[in-house]
Amino acid sequence: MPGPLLFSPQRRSGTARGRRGSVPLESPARTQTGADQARSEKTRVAFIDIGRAVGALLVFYSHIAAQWVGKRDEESRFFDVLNAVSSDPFHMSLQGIGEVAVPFFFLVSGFVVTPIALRHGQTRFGLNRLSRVYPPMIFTVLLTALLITVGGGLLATGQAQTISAWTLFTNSVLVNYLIFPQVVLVGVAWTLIVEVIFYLVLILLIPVLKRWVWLGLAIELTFVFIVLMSRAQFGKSWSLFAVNVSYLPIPIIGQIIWATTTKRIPLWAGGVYTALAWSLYVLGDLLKLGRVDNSYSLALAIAVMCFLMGLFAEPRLRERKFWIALSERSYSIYLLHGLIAFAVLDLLRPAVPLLPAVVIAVAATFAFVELSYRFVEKPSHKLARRLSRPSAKPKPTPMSAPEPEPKPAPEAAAPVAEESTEITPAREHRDSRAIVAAEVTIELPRVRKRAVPAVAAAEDEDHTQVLPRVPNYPTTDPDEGSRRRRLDDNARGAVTVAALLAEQTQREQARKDHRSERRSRENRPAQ
Amino acid sequence: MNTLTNVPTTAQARPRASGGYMHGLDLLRVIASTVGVYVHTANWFAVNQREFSFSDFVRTVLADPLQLNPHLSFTDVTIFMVISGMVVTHVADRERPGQFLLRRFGRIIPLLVVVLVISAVLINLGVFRAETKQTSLSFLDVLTGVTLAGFFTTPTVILVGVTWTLLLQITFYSYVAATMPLLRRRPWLPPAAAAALICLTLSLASGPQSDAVHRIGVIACFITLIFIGQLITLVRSGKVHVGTGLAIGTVHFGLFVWADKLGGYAYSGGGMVRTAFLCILLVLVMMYVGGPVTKSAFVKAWSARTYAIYLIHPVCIYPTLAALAPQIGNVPALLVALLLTAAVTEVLHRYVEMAVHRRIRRWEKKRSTSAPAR
Repeated sequence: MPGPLLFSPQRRSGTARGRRGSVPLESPARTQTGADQARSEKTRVAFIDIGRAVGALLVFYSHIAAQWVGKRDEESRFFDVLNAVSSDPFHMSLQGIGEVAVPFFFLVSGFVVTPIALRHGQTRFGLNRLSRVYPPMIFTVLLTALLITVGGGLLATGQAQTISAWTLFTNSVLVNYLIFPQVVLVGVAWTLIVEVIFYLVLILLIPVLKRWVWLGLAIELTFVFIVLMSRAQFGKSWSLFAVNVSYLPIPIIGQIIWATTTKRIPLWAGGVYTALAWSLYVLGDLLKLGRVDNSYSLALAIAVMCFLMGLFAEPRLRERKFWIALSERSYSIYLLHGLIAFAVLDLLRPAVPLLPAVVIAVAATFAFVELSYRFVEKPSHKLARRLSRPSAKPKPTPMSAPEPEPKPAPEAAAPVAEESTEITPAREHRDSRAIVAAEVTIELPRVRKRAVPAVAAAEDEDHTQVLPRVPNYPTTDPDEGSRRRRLDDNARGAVTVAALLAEQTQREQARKDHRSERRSRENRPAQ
Repeated sequence: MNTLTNVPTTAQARPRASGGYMHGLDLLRVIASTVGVYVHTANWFAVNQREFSFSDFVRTVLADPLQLNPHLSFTDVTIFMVISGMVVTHVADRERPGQFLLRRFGRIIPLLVVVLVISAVLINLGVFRAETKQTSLSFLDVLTGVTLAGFFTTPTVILVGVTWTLLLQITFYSYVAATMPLLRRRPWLPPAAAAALICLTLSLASGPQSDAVHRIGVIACFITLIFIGQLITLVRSGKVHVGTGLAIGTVHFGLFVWADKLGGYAYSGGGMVRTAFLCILLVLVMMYVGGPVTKSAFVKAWSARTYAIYLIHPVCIYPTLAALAPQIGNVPALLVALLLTAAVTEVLHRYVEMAVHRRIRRWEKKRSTSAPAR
């Protein structure tokens, strides 16, 4: 079973990324053992950072190997050997081993974005997503148009790449994927329309998910089924919509993992929902909705396994600057590698031998990614935070310390989901860290006479099991009755650990004060 | 209890690591033994051209989308092998080489011999057919079959098909016993050296070879999965750095991929590599899983009987299905076959597997108490 997974949401400084800079001096974690301390110094979910970073690199590699080298009939033993031991045995020769990364990004999206959506509410979440997804996308579309105009050979999906004001607009807002005939300027952006559809479904279902997670998930799965079944009923745009919706089971599986590990639904229900989502995804395969080969389900299965492995191994993982830096740039890597690397390779080949050309193309891509990250993505994150900041401070709850003005915490971007892996503070005291804790115990179904309240469950079982992001529910919720009680229970479950730790810090502080007072009293007569 | 490793059920012999006993592996053994029974049942229905709609369902929902072997063949074996490597490496840490071999062979050999003798009797009675198609066996055939020497003879004599994995186990146990001092001082070295040996063996055994040499190639191919299990335990217990473990494990998996490409070793279908990879991931996920069902007495008891299930189920299921399916239908015949398997498993587990295990432990205890007195 996983050990404690504690997160310190507060940053000492905005730039602190590693473990060194992120631990406040006065912190409850300082009283813990070394191992606990190491864990509690974490400010991010390490496995998601690693997964995003590796995923982005795999996509990059696969596009170079399968799309550029493969489709230009370049001969390379290096890529042949790598493909022979990676993509070939996994039936992914056509698209490359990076195919596994896409479902991983979708899983991350469902797992991480759902609690953010519940915390932010419909408007804030919508504005946040809008300002995170679109600025880098618009920048990439404009850059693509420029390169196409000057005759660069880019990563393409085979559809038309006509440049006009209309296609620039449709590609920028991603509706090009729903308009027949399709004009696709950015080859990798198909995953973004899937994300956007997922966000829209999520926004619509926030009220339901807040009250009844099981119902929200059931509605989502039903929606996917209806769209898949009606794919040929309402014209070509609807068919294209169905193609994109056929990928929704993946972020929904991410949501199911989130809901199960935070005990919002029992494990048996999580198992049933996962089986249904899997079946819908296989159905999409059987209906051949936008699939170019038959390796999609295998890619999803590997991604789910890797995701669960990372989730369970999280307590043993440490933050590394390298993974964090790559993870934060993964969205830019994902969007830009097909432009920059392909353009550079086209420029250099055949004058420069293949491998040096690839090295130069990769270096140029990373240089450009850095620029894009600093001057496009980061400002878009700032905008997202500004837009999604609550207009008024919520009233403090009796269970927690008063909430200060939220500090601007830099958030990471994922290639597709581009949501933060940081644990942002729900409620935090100026001088103490609030450590938000939740459950990741995976338990098999059991017969219960009645639902165990969150607090009691946390006390009964291994209380070291934690998961990020227990959503903050508004304290001024007008609804009464069972929903109110449930929300309170959930909120209490999340806050209790924070409150205990805050209390512990206070006690220590009081003890210190008392000791220093006693010492000063003892010293006084001597003087 | 692992079907293949036959590690004692005593608490000391269970895979404990820094995180405690891995209950999830018990559940995984239960799943693997169920899959094993399913694989052979589905294969029987397919070979005998009888309709088995559950198999179509599994194929549509799992085997085809995941590009695995038809009827999920080899899934159970992979899981058992990886768990075997994990468990055996764990127990090897506190046993002397002689003691280790006595205990391990004491767990696998007696039950194996009993099952093979039963199958030889059934073959001569005309109830069961040997894997190598013999319908009657001479004394020499029985002898070579029961001792597993028949895998290397010409003509080959294999009484029960599933026993080929025992060759891997015996090889692995012997290797662990031989490298035990090294495993304690330089834990990364035995699996690394094994990778080199496997590479050499595969190089020599590839191409057109005699059955005996080919069989050695099969052992070299599939034993990589057991070494991956060994590396999981070594990394988990902190004896090998995760980077080193990952590197050596990747080499072993690469060797498995290479052996698959060489062909001839993977006779269960074209999805061996994908099956192996998914099963390794499944083991890595399941080792963290806990919960009341995983820890339940039922799962523990089933898990303890998986070796007996693994050995005996073809001997029970095939003749029963052959006799009853045409008479009473597929599903009722399958139910009878499963009940018979459960009953025979229980008898073999209690009166052979555990009886021998207890006897060995008693003998060890007596020896250890009498030694200081002398």
